[in-house]
Amino acid sequence: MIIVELKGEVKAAKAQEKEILIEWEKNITVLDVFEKLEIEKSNVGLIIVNNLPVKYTDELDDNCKIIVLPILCGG
Amino acid sequence: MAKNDFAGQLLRVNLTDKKVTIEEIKNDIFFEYIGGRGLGVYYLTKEVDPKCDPLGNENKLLFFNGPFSGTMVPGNSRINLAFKSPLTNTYCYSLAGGHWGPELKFAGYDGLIIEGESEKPVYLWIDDDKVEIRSAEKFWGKKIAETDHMIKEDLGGDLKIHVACIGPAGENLVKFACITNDVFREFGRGGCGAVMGSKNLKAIAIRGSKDVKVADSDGLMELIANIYPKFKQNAKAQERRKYGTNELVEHINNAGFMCTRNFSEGYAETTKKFEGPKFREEVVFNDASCYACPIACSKNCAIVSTKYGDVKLEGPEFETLGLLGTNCGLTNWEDVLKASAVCDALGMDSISAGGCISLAMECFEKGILTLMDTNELELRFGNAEAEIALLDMIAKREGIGADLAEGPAFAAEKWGVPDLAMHSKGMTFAVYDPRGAKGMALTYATSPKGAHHMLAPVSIAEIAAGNRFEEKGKEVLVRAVQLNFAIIDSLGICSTIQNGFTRADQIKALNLVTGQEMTEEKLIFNAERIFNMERMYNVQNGFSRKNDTLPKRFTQEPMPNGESKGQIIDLQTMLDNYYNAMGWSQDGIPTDAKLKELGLNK
Repeated sequence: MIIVELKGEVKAAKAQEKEILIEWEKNITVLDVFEKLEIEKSNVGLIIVNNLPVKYTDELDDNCKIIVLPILCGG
Repeated sequence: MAKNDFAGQLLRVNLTDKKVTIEEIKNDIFFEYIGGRGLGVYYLTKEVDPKCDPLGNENKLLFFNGPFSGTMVPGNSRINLAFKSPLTNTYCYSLAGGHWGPELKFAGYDGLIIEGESEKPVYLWIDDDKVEIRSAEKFWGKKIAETDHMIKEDLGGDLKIHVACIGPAGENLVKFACITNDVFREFGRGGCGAVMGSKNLKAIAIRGSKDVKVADSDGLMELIANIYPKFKQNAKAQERRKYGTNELVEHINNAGFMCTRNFSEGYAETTKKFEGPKFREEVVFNDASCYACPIACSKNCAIVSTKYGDVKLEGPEFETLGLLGTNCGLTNWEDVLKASAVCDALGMDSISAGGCISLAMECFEKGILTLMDTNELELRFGNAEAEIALLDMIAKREGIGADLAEGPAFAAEKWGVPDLAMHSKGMTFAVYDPRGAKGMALTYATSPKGAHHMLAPVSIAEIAAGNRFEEKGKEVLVRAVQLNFAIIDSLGICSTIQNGFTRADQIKALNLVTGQEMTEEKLIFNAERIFNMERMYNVQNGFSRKNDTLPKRFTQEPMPNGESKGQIIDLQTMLDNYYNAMGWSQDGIPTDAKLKELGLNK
């Protein structure tokens, strides 16, 4: 399983919760997870997996945790 | 690999021998350094000795646009200025929005380097291919808005001319003087206004009429048409449209880490008056935007004041509200607007000016400064009239203003109270007290230009993640955001525009403009190289871990009130982990292996 935590303004069209469990599959990428959950990418600032920043094309291991943080801007 | 012939023009003006030359910025330099901040550190490293006197002849002002400049790519207004800072004695960059940067591009230039110094006050007039150095003696001593107006009149009154200028603070070499374009858009931090003043350069006026060429204009317009509607659907973009950056007041004050009374507290009940909805309702009369920005987060404000008469200005932004406002104990819009307007008119960085004034206020309240020292000014927190008078004294270097004009570290040292100056490397902190969002401790301490939040403004992510008091692991977040902002600043886009303009679309736009085949991996690699070059510029001037500091107030004094009560920072452990994450030695110096990886070893 993969745990997905959505923080701040980040939302998923396919789930109401802010913490979501989805099935892991071989070669699944960050982008695949986003597409399954229909996460709006324009609200996404940083994606952290197991304490490291990742890109959409990165593959995910089973039992990993994805933290999706909102955009950070000035002020 | 880079391809095609995207290249840029660099205008070089030497004020000593009055020589004007044009050089090419080659395509491969753009591919490796992107533009903006990347080009700034590239040329600064090549041309300005890290050990030079920042107010001497050898320092330069290096302005560079991003690759999108002058197109309709959203948010592309930002122009980067690289220089050696007289405030911090470090590498420095400063970004400004507005329309001046794009006007430089319309005149045909991606970059402008000012070097040498003039014997007498001059201003530079760039009118497409015609470049003149003209006398500015009759403008010397004038404040910002007056200078802007008088120079346009001197050039025939064309309102399409955009002017960047210094005020009295820059002329008097105040170490945190800024350069202001279009009256209210500042290259704020680090004292670039003093560098310009040291060159006897009062202003740079630009008018451009050339087309901006891109590699694939049809493809670019199609992409842009798809991007623009996204801003209306983005909640953060719309919040910024309504309240500007002051939408942050509620979040940061309620979380208890909003700078209050020289960072002695993190929360004030009176700060609720400054929250976004009240801001909009009470003082905002319309919105303003930078070039090619659909969000329009700038706010034009006005108040009819019984104390000051009519006060009108663009702003204040969140940082100005914090450092000139809550950090000096101000509690109403009348005083905040007037203090902001005075600081703008004199041409000073409002954050550093506010940090100096709050230092003086704390010293006065503690009896370290007396009425004899302050020219009879009752420098108590909340005394706006005293604050406004002190702003003037700083700009003119009068009385204790002369001490404060050297920066808070100098003044506090001279007065025997070095621990009361809230700075890192000489630069005043931004609004975010790091005791309330500990990633900001690393952001401030490791910034190559001193305590500037925009290297990595992580506090909102820390609030969102629910771990703002944790120190462990913050090096991961800060490093990732530092690299992201190196990309943003080098692309020359505003960080707020990310709320709708994704990284994927930024890369598509970049390749459509330049004809390159940029990838996300290459952008991140370039960003890491840029950040390490910034670090190495300082290392060559003797900087290391010993300079990555925070004041004792943050590391030893628990926050006394609010939702961050009781917090202090263990900076040294955070630095150990951060240096590891960066591939630097435990003395904070990029290792040979890291430099080789980035192609920076010689």
